[in-house]
Amino acid sequence: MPVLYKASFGYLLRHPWQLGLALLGICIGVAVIVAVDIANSSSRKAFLLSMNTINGEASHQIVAGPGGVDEELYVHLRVAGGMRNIAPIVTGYVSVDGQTLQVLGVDVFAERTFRAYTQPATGRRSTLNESTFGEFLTKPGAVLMSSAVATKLGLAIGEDFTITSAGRDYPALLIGTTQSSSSSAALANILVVDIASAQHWFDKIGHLSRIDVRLPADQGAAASILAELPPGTELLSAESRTRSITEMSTAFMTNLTAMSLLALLIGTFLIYNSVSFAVLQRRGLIGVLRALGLTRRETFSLIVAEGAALGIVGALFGVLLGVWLGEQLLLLVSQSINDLYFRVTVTNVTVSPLSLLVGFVAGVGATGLAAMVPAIEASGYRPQLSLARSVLERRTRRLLPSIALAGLAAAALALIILPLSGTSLVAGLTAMFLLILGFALCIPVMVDTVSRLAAGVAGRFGGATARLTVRGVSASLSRTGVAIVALAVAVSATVGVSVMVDSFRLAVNDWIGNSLRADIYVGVPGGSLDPELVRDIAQLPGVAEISSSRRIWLEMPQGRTRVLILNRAGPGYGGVELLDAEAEETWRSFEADGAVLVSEPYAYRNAVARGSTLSLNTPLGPQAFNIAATYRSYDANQGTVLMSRTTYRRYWHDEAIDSIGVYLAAGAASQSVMERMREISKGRQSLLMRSNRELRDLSLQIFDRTFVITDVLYWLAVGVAIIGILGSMLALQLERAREFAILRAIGMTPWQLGSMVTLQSGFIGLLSGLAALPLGLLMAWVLIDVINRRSFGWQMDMSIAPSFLLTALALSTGAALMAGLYPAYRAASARPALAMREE
Amino acid sequence: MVNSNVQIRLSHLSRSFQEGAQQHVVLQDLSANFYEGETVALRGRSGSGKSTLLNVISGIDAPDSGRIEIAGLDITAMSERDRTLFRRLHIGFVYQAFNLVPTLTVADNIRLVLQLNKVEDAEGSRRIRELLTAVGLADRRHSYPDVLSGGEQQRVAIARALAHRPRIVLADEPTGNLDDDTADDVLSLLGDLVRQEGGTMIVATHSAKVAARSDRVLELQNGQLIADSRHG
Amino acid sequence: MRKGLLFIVFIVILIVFWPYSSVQHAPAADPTEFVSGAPRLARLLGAADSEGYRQALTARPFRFPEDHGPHPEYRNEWWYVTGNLHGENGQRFGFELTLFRFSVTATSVADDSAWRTKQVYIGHFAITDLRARKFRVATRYSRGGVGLAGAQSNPFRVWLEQWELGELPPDGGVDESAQAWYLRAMDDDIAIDLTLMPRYAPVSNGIDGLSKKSAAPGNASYYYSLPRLRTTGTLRSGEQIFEVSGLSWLDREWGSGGLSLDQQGWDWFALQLSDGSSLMFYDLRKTDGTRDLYSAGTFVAKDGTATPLSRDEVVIDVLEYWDSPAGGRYPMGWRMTIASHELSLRISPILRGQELDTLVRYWEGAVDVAGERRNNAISGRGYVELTGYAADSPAP
Repeated sequence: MPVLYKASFGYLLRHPWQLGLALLGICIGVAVIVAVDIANSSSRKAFLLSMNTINGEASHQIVAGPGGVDEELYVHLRVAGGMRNIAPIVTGYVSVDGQTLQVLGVDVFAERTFRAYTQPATGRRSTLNESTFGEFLTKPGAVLMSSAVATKLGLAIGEDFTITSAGRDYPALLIGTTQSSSSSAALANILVVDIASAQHWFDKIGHLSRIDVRLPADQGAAASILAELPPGTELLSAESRTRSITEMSTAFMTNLTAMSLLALLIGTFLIYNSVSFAVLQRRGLIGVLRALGLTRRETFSLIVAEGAALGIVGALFGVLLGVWLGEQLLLLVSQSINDLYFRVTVTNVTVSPLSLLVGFVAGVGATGLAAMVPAIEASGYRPQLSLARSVLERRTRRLLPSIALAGLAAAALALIILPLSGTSLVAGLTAMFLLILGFALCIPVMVDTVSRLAAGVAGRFGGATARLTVRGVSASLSRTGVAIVALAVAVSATVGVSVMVDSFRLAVNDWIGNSLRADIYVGVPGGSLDPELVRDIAQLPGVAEISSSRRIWLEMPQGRTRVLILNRAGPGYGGVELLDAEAEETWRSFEADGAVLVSEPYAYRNAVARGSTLSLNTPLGPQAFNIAATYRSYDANQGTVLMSRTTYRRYWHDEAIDSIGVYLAAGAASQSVMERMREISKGRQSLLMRSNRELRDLSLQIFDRTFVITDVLYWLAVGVAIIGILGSMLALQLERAREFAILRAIGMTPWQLGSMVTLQSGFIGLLSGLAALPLGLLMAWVLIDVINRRSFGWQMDMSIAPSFLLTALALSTGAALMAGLYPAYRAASARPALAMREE
Repeated sequence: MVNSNVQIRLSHLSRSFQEGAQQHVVLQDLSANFYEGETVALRGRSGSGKSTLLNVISGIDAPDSGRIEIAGLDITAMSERDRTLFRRLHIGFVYQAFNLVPTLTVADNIRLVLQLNKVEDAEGSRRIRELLTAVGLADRRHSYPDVLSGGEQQRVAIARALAHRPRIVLADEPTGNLDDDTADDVLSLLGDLVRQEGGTMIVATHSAKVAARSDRVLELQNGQLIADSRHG
Repeated sequence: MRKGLLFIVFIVILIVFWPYSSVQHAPAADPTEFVSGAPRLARLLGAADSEGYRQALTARPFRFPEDHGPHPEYRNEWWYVTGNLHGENGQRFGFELTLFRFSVTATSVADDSAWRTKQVYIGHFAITDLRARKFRVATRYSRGGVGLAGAQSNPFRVWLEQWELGELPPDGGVDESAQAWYLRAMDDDIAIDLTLMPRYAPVSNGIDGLSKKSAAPGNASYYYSLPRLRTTGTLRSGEQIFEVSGLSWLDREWGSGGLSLDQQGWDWFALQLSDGSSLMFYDLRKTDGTRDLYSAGTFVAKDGTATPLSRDEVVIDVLEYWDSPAGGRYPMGWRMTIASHELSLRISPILRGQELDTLVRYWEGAVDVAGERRNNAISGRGYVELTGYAADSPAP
């Protein structure tokens, strides 16, 4: 290694805490990026893997509306049409011992070219034998599963068990297990049964969930199938179908990624801080090197190389930490995806080299960028003309207006981007980062002004020591500025996110309260209610009215639409809050004229509004529906179309009801009505009953669970910022060792000196907190009005609880006070004589 | 070995600093010649412009006006980069504050200069051994500067200044931080070595002793040359 | 004919291999472990549990059209058509279309889903194109439910997806005297669309239609044939479509039995002679190489009168052998002497490579016949099936 670099690393090694904190900052920043990426991609990959396993070799799928595809269509295509590369599928979810598993109902004769259920295991082959086949085909409830699932469920081959589908229990029999190797790990949670069993379990007699199709690449084959399809039945590419499902979660994942970038941004400030200190402290040394003939460019490279080396080491540790953290986050992420979007069981953490590389490059790149500024500064040093501190501070202060101006420019750019970028989420996030950056650049000016003013005030009331304490902050702005900015950004993130989440929660709470009008809600997991049971419930004493709902997906080549079919109870549709239309007229056309309502996200996403029409795929072919109004809904970010049962009946022959709302007669007790419902449903369907209160609590629980990960991420960001403050205070203490020594020499006690350092740190924290409040509120506004809207299409009012603001102030001041303790201790315990001899 | 070839030609140098609202003149229309192989003492009170003069000669600082030629090359016309490279190659420094790199060993401090001048490591090691032997520190080559005495540190600095066989050695109060005896040792060592290598040396100093050992003494006052006396 | 039994083995293999998608992985396991030659096959068939099924124990009169239709209470059943055809310019073709029904369990499986069934259908379709020297094979499997495959007697029809054999409506205008049938099958390179016209009523094989395969009671089947079906229609071989005509042979058999353990395989001959007579004979071979006692056949006179042939009446000498490129050595040329009918015939395949390299490997192909009957020269055509000569290949 050239001696030049030895000199540089010798310095770093002699200041291990500075080195350590810088590394830690990069490390955490990188770790968060890698972790979020791992959690996201593992969830997505697990889903895609299971879809791929389930889709097998199918290139296309034939799907139809709520009832599924008529099985006669399949027979027609095969027997009359002579199509051979098609396979019927009946699929759904059941629960076994409380575990939810996907059932794949297949026709084994059609399967052979579609799916590989097992890998040929080495050693023992799968347990399938000649009688397995007969049992599979002829025994109702005969199930094949991977040996892993069998072990998990504690089942042995030949053992009977019970599966529950749509609240009904069915006998099942494990007739064989398959060996699942890693590539078919997705099968781990799938039960394979004969199609007849699946039709029985999912109440799909006569119908199929879909027909898998393997088409050659040419278009002619697709066209010949299309000609055979009845209206309302569609031939869709399997890949695009999978994509449209995964796309639902894209916005959610993008938001997580943005959060992780915020952590890195704060980490970058920290790196900037560390490298700047390292440069400042060696300005003498750099002067000597320049005098010895080191060119500006060489000086610049030296500092950047130093930063890059820090970045590489920090990023390496960050990647390792990220893998660990990713596993922790994965649970949270997959839980939220299950709650909100689609069912995914993540059995493997997918650590793709790409996500590690991205994290690593981001870390090294951010460090390189952060080191650039001090490197430019260092290369500007005159050889040997050792810079006096005061000159440096003067220069920093001279720069403040330009920095602030750059900040204002960034903010202005953000404000230009926002209205011009339409609905682009990435542009929204870019604008948010620009705003944060812009605001952050203005912070030093504010700090300078505030601390000058405060110094006067402090001097008047607290004497020279207090004045010295406060003045110290602005006097050493070249060092403290960045720490203040980093802490302010981190704290503002907590303010922004808390205000956003709180406003959101409040809106959701109101909405739930408004929507949930019935006293009891009844449904069955993963299925429909027995219509006769619904009739019986309506007749129960104590039941005044029932409303019903049905949720279906309608698919078209352009994408899928979620439709909610409502049948109102006596009190009407009071639970639906209309946003842009007058109630009476809307509900009349909703009931009588076949008009539909669209949820706010739907309207936003598809750019439709009251008065426009939308097209839905019905058994009579695509039909246009008038939109009578937009309504408020936070239930599905892909958007929902609301339709009346009357309208639904006009097109679909589907009387299924997914859930009902029970309105109690005056004086009836909900407990006893629930008891009666349990009574009459016994042996027919086990019902999932929730009181209004329970359902509301449950909804909020899911809501809260979704934001746990957000909390985790911003606390990590705060952690990084606190490390930054600690680092700054330590550096400052080292920097000012001589000054402290003089103060001690002229009679300041160690306690006084320690207090001064601690208070100074606390004052920095207070300033950060003050700066964080407006930035946080700005962030909250962007999150609510731009990011949330662009991600999910939701709109809500911002509500600011004063407690959040106070908490933020307390957090930043407290954190900085804590961070000041150790430097204070060091300053106080230094021997003045030694310190004075240095330099 | 003094000969009549002009090594450094200074013509009408001026340099002033802005300090607040005041203009502070440090060098004022200064002209002088320095010859190959001569040792020149710069004398004058603090603030008389000695350090600034050394800085402009080395190219660390640039004069506001005037011209500096070294071995016929006009360094005032050079770019910052070229001046740096010129300095790296042709000028050696000895400072009052030693200015060793604290994180490098004695040997590495010297090697730093050699590496900057692209001297091969094997060759460099020979040179380092030779120089450390000459300054009497051959056994301290793996020590760090902070364990050396002031005199030892300055001897390392001298070795470093001469490592790349510069045409010119500039020394700014090289003995200012040393006690008299040590100062004597260091100074005679410096003088001997520079003469051995045949370089030109300019020493800024208060010390009459130093002046006495020089070939020539230049007196500076308020940035102007007020005396030029040649010794026997 | 009895090849149908082989397909019980087919099911076994299907069971074991259906989980392996043929597109993705060749199974690592050696399938011959399951069916390595006929003794193994016989063991599996012998082991196949026939309990609970109806057994073919005593002779019973056939009733038509009911008996053309399915007999689901028996374990296995097949409709089996072979034929020799020629195009307008004399191009020579042979075809084989076999539809098998198997019941995988004796117990009832009534269910509300139309997919639930215990009946499995398997089909084999092969065309021999002599001019192109091409032998092409296709297979199909399906459950016998939901309309994908099935059989019915009134009107008679048996189908497996697009492959179908059935009776034409009576007013089809072909011939008033007998019921005409249609036969349709197609695959990527081959297809047939034929009309079949029987010359006389079905002929019972064995003893009044009960054909015993071994000493064990129940190891027997009900067996009748329609040996001379006048055939016309179209045939596709590769890209070309031909107008064809010729003679076909239908075998119908159902029962619940299997092979006995010491039976290695069989050679089956179905020959249509130029004097209007026909003969069927199956030679059951034992593992020790000797001819099984239960080898038997039927001689059918021009008018449709049937005479049973016992093992000892029929002497068969192998004249030539053929080594299959896939392994196994088949007899490939015979002299058949039947003293009781004063018949001496030389039987030779029109093409040697008529081997079906499917899950169960066997040889089934069109043959030419030449020889004498009562010192008059006689010729003929027919089909021969040879099983138990080769180990089986992996999944197609």
